[in-house]
Amino acid sequence: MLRSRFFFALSFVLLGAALAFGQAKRPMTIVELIDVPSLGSPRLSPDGSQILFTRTDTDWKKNGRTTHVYRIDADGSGEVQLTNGEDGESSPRWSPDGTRVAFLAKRGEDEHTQIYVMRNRGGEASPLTEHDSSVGSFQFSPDGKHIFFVAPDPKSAEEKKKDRLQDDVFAFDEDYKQRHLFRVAADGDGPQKGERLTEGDYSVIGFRLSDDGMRIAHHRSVSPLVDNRDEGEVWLMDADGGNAVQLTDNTVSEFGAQLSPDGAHVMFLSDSSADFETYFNDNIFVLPAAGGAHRVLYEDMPHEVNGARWAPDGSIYFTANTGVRTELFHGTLDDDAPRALTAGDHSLTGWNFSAAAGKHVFGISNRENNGDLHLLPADGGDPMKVTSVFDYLAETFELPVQEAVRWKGDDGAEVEGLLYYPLDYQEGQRYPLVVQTHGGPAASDKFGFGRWGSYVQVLTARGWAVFKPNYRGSTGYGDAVLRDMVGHYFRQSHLDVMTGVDHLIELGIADGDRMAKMGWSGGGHMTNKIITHTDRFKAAASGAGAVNWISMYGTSDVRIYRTPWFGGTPWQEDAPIDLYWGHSPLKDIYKVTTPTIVLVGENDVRVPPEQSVELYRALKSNGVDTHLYIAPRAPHGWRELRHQLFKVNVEIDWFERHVRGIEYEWETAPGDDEEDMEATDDEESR
Amino acid sequence: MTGLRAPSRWLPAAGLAGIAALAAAAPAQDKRPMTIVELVEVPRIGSPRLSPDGTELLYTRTDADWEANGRTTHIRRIRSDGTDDLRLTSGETGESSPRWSPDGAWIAFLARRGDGASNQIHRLRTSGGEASPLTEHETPVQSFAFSPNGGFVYFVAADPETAEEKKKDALGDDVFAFDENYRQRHLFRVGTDGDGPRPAERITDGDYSVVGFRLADDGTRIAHSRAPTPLFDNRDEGEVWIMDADGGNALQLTRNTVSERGAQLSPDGTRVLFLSESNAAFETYYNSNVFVVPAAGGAHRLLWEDMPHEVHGARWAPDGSIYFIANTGVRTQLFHAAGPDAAPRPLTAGDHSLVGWNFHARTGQHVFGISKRESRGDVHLLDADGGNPVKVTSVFDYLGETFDLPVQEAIRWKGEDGVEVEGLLYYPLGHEEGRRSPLVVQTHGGPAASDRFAFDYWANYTQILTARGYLVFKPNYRGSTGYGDPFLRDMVGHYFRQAHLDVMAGVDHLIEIGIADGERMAKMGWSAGGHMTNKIITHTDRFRAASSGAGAVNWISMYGQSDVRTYRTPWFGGTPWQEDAPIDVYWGNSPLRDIYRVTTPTIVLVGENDVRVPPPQSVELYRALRSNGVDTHLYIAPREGHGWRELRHALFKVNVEIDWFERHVRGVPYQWETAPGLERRSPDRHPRRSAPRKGVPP
Repeated sequence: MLRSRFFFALSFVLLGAALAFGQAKRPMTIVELIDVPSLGSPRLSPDGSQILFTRTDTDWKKNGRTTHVYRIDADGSGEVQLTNGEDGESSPRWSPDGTRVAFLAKRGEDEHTQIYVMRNRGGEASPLTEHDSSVGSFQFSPDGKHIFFVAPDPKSAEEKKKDRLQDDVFAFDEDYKQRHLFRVAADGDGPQKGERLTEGDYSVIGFRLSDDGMRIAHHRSVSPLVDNRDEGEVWLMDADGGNAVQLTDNTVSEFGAQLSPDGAHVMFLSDSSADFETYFNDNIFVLPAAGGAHRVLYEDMPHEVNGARWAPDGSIYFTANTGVRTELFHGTLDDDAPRALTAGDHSLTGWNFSAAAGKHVFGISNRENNGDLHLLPADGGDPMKVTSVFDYLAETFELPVQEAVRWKGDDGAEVEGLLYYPLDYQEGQRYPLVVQTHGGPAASDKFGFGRWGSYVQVLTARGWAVFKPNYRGSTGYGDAVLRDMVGHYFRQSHLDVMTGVDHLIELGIADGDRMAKMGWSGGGHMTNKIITHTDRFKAAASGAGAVNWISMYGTSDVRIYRTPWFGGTPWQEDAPIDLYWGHSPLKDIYKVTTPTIVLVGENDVRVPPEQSVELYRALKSNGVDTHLYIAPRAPHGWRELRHQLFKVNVEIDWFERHVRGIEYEWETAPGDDEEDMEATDDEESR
Repeated sequence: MTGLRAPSRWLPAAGLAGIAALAAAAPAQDKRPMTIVELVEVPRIGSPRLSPDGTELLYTRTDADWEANGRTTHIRRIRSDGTDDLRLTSGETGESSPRWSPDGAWIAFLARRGDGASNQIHRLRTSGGEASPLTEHETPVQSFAFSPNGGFVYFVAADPETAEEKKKDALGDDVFAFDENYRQRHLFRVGTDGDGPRPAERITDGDYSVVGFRLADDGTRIAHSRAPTPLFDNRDEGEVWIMDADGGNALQLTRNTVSERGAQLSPDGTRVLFLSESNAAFETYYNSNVFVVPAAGGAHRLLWEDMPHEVHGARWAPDGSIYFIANTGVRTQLFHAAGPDAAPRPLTAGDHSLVGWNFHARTGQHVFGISKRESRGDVHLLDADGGNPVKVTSVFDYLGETFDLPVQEAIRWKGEDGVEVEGLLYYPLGHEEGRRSPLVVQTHGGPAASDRFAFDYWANYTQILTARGYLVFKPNYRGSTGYGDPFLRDMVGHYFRQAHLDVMAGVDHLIEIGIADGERMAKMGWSAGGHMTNKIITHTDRFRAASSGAGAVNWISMYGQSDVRTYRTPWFGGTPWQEDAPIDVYWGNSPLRDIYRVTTPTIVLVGENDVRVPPPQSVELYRALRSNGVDTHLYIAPREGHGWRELRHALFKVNVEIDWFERHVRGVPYQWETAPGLERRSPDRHPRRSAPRKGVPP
């Protein structure tokens, strides 16, 4: 309560300030960018009058972020923070009658995450479960009597004892616990353990109750490991776990299975073709609930489907990536061409469809908003803004103009990307350029506020243009673009980046003599390739990228995408080793002259640190100016605030020094006092 | 100071020999096989140092502590005649590096004492009383030495973190620059007068590290090694230097691309001796040799160039002659050379390894441990010029008295190319001639090393395997040290040329002479012994089971990921990163290239924090085998580096390997041994393994 009042007051002050001095907007600092909140999990109440959502804020004292559950009236009034636990809460859900709010939290003496429930009209939350492992995801039964949830099988007393004694050598990739489905009574007295619904040597990795509560569409996989997802299949069973039927039998991964309102079909998503071949843009599939042949919907649609839901009438709503945007669509089982319900230079986030209220709820992320929640009638119209969490961004800060650009690739194919203009842009003047390539690589860069990791707000404020090409291999542009990487990886993808750069130079926007290259994950692979391909970049920052596809194949936690890229494993007889090595930036590492910093999280299992070590030691051995920065405790995505601040500081420092030859003063974290700031600057400019 | 020699030192030796003879004569059936726990618990002793007057010895003893799940080292003192063995220290985290002050009045050592304290120099009076700290340096003391007149203690310690760095670490603002986040190590000294800890005086300073030092006998100069960083990988950029004891007049004596160690000034101050794994032209990858260089600078000289042995340590004698210890293949021996031009003469002989050798110039005695089949290295004294080593400690007498231990034997065979190869054979307990036994082939790490006669440590557990009826074979395959440079350098440009063939030729030899059962064989090894295991399973399907510990499978990724590259560049003839890199050699010698051929059920073991052969190598191996349908598991030990240290991890390794071998080679179930104090899984299956143990010394 206090908090929301404070923000209410604060936004008045800011609004006043903005009104008073229209031109007084200023660039964001790195800390302000890191501090931008995020919203998630919007859920409309059954009567459509209120929305639950989560809000995540930074806490520099904790060096991290905390998420709490909020509620707001559908007309944008009455915003209130419902939970206030020290370690936060997540996954808010309405009970079907709208009287209660359930969420996940680990509080007090909890050894594991549990389900908590509170009355919507007031009062503290109390635990509904005391399960002996962490509750992963949950759903109310439509009659509100039960809550179904997934949780891993617990460690045995013997295992716990051995851990305590440090008799703890473990069998790698075999030390998981299978995840199973449980349920508890939603109105029980005091916390309970779940009643087991599934059991066996497999994991339930996703489930959804049918609208009548009688059946559960779900996914079973041989293990909970991401690497085994392609061995998962779609299943259907009764709500008590009986009569389980396997509906798919293929070698691709599926997700989001759900029974149609009439109980006749099961819909699911898979990044595969109609023949269940892998490595296609995500498609919608349906198959008879009684078993039978599947079919793919909207086969000619070039978009990548992000999520889909049955409408009560058996039609389908879905969100899809159309390249540099995401939009909401509506289609039927018989349509060839689904109809877009939204339009704009934006990305939709956290979309949820409330059948009871007949409305969509989602966030709209754009140039000046990180995703305030909107409501939209089932059949479309103008989205109505509900929250005002991000109004302060446009009111306070000068933010870069984002523009979609298109150019021809080396082979004549059209390529698209995003351009962020420097804040002081004047036509006819050339600007230093930072080229950022997205991860995935099966993903795309889209209009949106953007995350701290690419800090376009800060770069453009310093006079840089930023370019994010959706190079070959990106999603949302049809399967031919995505599958250019199949059998190659680097065929057109890196050339698309360079033709895009040439296009910007040709347009007179970019200064070809002052360019830097950066990227993370798949964007790091690309950065590593580019510095072996050209010496045109004066500086590079490679984050969590691969350099050696042979070792990467074995050491990453996933292999699913990589097998199609190179046409087999590197371990089979007559393995395509020439492809693995031929597409490894390490093969050509002797060509690199670009000063390059390398960044990686110590606990990254997706692109393990050893890839960065191979890169760093190779560059150093060859006399290239380089440093490898490792973030302790950090996984593939860095989470700690001071690590994030370090990344942005060290990259800007590197680019300013090597591209523009100017000194950069490092930004410090809030609370580090003046005296320390000086010492920090001295130390960090080493 | 009293007499230089202990007058009665022969008497107790005779007495001990008598006891040993009695033990040997005791009925053999009273002896029993060791358990794994008993093997893990065998103490270690080290750092023997004779008192200035030669009457007493300091040494360290390290014992297992299951409660702490680790080992603790304490300092002990024993009279040179073997009496009055006494523990001097008992700090909770232990003590190490005992040193006598030159006047014998003090004993200095390293210990971490007090909350959050780092390793500091402490000292106690030999006449009694508690120890007190001599230093309170801001970083841990890594090594130290008294000046010959006792006025100073010199030590090496890393430069400290700044207050700002400590604060950032505390805030979690701790992204670090890999391979650049070291602190240079420098030389310091403190005076020894007065009481209480005192600040140290810095002797060296700058952007380099002192990675080893030794004061001259007259205390006026310091021979030392300087490297651009303290990182192991930069040791080949280190050089030998000499300077005054106050750090002045520093002079660089070598300038090459090889690593040197053990630099020390000759007694007459004219020459500096050092060791290096290089030839006369300072090319790398040779058996370790002794070099001398004029102390005023000038041309270096390699001593005893034709000697095939690998020199482990060398010391000037007062008369300018040289003592050294060397690996002769399956043994180590002590040698003496009357001068740089005189041929070295062995002072010891026997089926043993010498450990912790130190030469005591003042009394003219050598002190070292002798490790062999029945003793893990009781300390012995030997006259400067040789004779019979006199046993001083009796820490390990219980081993020969209590346990039935395997016979060790050196064997030789011809390699595929006709070259003679040597190795060690461990006979199954109760072996009878004419009987074929299941075989475990163990290959040593390094690979620039060799397997030698000694009391085996827990990780090879030949005592356990032979008790279960296995024959154990340790071939010193091509690439091993102690057999001359062509033998060692067979790996240069190849790695696997004759090395793996030597292993298989040895196996065939054992089958041919009728002692090994070729149908029941297992392969295991750690580190380079793991590389070899990985190669062997791609080379042959003759082994029914394998255990690969911390081994490499992909030389391209291994080259970049390991903390050292020094050896690997010569193996493959360049880096994998240079223009026209020898990638075919890197890949061609990578077991991963042929991994599709493997059918042998193989377990893989590695420490989570191993930087030498990082876990990703084991992950590549495991996932490749699993992907190809081979029966396999990868066991990772949390908190462990390249060598596993925690007792429960050690017990796990031995258990899981024996289980794997018994199941796949002999098809018999194996009952896991449990740690002391833990309930047994099914107590009725085996005789109690944690039965009261006889003969364990107090």
